[in-house]
Amino acid sequence: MEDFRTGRRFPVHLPMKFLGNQNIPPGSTANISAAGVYLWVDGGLPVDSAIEFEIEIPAESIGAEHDAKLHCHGRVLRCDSDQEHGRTGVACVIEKYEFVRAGEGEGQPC
Amino acid sequence: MLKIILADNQAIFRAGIAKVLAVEDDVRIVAQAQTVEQAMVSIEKFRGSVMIFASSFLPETARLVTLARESGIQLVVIAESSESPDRYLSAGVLGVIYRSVDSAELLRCVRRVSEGLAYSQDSRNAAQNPDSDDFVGARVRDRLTPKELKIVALIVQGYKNKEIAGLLGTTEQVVKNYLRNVYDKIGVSDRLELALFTIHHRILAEAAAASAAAMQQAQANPPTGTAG
Repeated sequence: MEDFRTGRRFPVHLPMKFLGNQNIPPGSTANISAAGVYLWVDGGLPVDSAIEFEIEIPAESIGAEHDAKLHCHGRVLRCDSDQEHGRTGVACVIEKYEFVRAGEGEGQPC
Repeated sequence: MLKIILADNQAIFRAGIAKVLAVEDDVRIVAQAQTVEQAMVSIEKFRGSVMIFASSFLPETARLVTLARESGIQLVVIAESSESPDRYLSAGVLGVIYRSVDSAELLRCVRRVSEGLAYSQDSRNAAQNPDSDDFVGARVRDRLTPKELKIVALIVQGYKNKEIAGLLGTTEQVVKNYLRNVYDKIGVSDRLELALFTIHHRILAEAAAASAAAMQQAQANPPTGTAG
């Protein structure tokens, strides 16, 4: 498969969870760029479906006192079955994001 | 003389590699490229060189390999630690290193590849201790001022520009100016990429957090003036 990504991908593994109506257990990120994210989750998602999810940034990973979160709206580009580990890789484009501090409600868009 | 072309969209990384190679008497950096197009021009101009390029150029790997073969250029890719070297080696790239590579291994790789021999850094070492030789993170940390480090810390903690301005006692526009400088120094394009870079380079995250903590402590306990 040809790779059309141009932004730098960071192999950052962070916990994530879906918001909204997605009935899928929490998963984790495999890599993230400013434009997209690859997730490991337990369950598939329809290609081209809109999704809302939150990536947790644990305090210890940034040397801070409190966790932060990255609230994202995106769209599913592709799902890859990983039968060996019983999980699904989900490639998503990030259409909109905002950082949210621990204890903070909905922030203003960046 | 071993001629090197550095091709990476991150200026800070090119600077880090250049610093390592500059001390070698028989190595000379003949060109630096920020884009694939610049890399292509350099390949045609400096035949017989070794080009070290970033994996962000991956979509153009086939073009790079083809042109490099025609120009007698050997290729070394800087891969991400989660990537297997096989995809590059099978594509015709002779050397695979990771961003955590140390100076000695970088030189070993470049010299071996210049002789037409394949070299692949052990990816397990790349993933085991990314901090130990994170000269990219260290170099960025050393280039940022204490105030820029504090802004980086606040960004990854989720603060918005207006809130950062309030904490620093300045205006939102000044914070934006600082951020633009930080983006230029690191080679990122927005706050998300900045946050990801910082999380990925723990050495920078820790320095930023320490700088933020020191500044907050200084604000909480301002020095008492002496009567003149």
